[in-house]
Amino acid sequence: MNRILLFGNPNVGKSVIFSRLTGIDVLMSNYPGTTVELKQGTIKLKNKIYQIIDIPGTYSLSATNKAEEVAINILSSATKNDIILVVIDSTNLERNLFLTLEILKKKLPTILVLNKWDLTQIWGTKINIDNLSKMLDVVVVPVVGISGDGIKNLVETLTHFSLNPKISSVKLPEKNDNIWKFIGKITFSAQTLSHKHPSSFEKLQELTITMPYALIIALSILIFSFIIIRFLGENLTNYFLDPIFNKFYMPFVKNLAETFITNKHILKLLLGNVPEPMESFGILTTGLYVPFVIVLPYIFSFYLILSFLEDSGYLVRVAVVLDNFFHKFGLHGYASIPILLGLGCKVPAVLSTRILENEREKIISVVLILMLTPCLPQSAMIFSILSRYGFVTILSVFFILIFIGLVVGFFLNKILKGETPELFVEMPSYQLPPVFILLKKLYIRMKSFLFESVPMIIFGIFIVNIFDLIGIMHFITKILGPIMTKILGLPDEISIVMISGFLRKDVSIALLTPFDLSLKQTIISCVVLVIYLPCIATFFMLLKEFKLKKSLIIVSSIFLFSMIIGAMLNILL
Amino acid sequence: MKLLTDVPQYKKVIINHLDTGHGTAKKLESLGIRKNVQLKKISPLKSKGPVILSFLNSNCQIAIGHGIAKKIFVSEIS
Ligand SMILES: Nc1nc2c(ncn2[C@@H]2O[C@H](COP(=O)(O)OP(=O)(O)OP(=O)(O)O)[C@@H](O)[C@H]2O)c(=O)[nH]1
Ligand SMILES: [Mg+2]
Repeated sequence: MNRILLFGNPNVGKSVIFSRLTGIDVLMSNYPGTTVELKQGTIKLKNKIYQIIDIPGTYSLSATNKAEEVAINILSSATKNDIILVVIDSTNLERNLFLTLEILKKKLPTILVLNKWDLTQIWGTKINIDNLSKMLDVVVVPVVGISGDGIKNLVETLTHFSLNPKISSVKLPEKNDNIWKFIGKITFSAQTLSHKHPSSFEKLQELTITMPYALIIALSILIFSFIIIRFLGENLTNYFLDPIFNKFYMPFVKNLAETFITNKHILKLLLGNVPEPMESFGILTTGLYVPFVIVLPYIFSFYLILSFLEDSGYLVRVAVVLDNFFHKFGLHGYASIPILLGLGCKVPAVLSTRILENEREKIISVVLILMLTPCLPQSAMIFSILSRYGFVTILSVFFILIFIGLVVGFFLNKILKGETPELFVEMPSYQLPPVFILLKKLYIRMKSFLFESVPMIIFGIFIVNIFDLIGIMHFITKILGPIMTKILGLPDEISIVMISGFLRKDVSIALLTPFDLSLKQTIISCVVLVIYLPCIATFFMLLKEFKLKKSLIIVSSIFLFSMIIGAMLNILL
Repeated sequence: MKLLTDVPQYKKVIINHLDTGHGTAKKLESLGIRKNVQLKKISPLKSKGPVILSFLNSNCQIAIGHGIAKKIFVSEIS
């Protein structure tokens, strides 16, 4: 199939345009490096179907990280039957032309898409499309990805172009110095700038990256976000979902099941053995209560806030502010983006380490992703089971985790050979997050939870029941039990919790409820269950990014370390 | 000529010379940071963190690590 390739600098709006052209939902954010792998869709132009590919952004055709490598590889696979759509940020013509010229050198059918056309008005940039088109000998189409303006025109242009593909015959200078002269010539004749910056707003923007204000602002935003996430999450559970579950859903399924099913074992598998939805471990009770009543509200509130931070443009500033601090762990500030994503789910977090330059930095940040904090479903469960001990207890679990993570990062930086790469990052201007992007992202992330995580949670509960039924539970307890009691000071039946945590981390915390643990035991088991092993989905992502040997080394060292931590907590607390 | 890190806040500069390795220079170039380009420094002089720059001829801001900024020679312009 012939292809349409969406190429361009990071953060110019390729994914927004991809989503407009194909109707496929992809993540879009206001920071460079959102897309790190290829996404395919199709588009029909005049009875012919084209495959259209959203590609990670790149600044040039020599890769500095894995995401750029993906982009460059696909360009080298392109042929004259494909169409290259070079997407440009209209407010940043000069820099974007550098990559454009590199692509034009490949002599492939190319169309230039001037995105963010709406901003040219605001920033006072005037672009003469005819001149630009003439000087580069390419078709130029202005669009506004976020509103969809110009997309129809783009499709018409594409249709027309697909019938008469054209390769630019522009003569490009060979030497590097001359390239910039050429770009200068183009911008001189195709662009006029008049600066009319809203200056008080600009000053405010600068505060978010100037110490010490930046730190105060960052901390306030962190605390504020935390309060909103917890407020929304907890109240949706307590005053909305829990009542619905207990008052309407439970009596209903209970009646239904008891009317139609007589087999004692199956009934127990479905409904569990006690009436409390958190402790019964039936597939239709705990299996649904955990994901829908406890975790889902947090998924909603967390990703609402995260999307807001991503799309406003604040996340990049966090990366810049944290740069100095992160150097202590052998990372530059940009590693904070994968780590923040890890607060939600480790799977996309591990994937997004592709934006980092070298292997050493990737390993350190993956270890931090896995150790610093629980994933969101697990955090939600920890909030839920620790809430009876009060807020300070919850905080102390997180504090212990962050402390351990930072110490480990610090030592990894000392132990692993190599240098810390320097930060280079473009800072997109602040914007009011487009509502359509906020909603779409919330939808993508909730959908992924419902369709990928919920089945795993139910499967996890199912496995625990089956183990119990056929007596494996007893066997596992016998083997692992002594480790639990001697090293961690936990009851030996907790072994089964350890096994289940590999399937789903939230399920493992839920499994703690029936044990009636002391406060100390609860803290130890929460801390150990967060770090000891990644869940299976994360493990597969590690394999994909790091190959077998490195993944196993990372996972087994973290496992050993978690046992040591558990033992130390057992002695200290 | 002085180092980019020694330029006071809000001063405009032109880049004279990049004393970095070839790879870094190429990366900087693809981001638009190259010889003869005019920039305004946004971050304060004493900052130990990344140096934040805005381009005079576009609306783009960029942050570069302190270690790299120490290898960029510039002259102040008015
Ligand atoms: N004002 C304005 N903003 C836009 C437009 N199109 C996209 N954006 C914003 O640009 C940002 C980046 O969009 P993405 O689609 O994620 O960019 P990308 O090119 O896929 O970026 P990478 O995946 O990082 O390479 C988002 O925050 C959008 O809100 C537009 O037409 N106008
Ligand atoms: Mg993208």
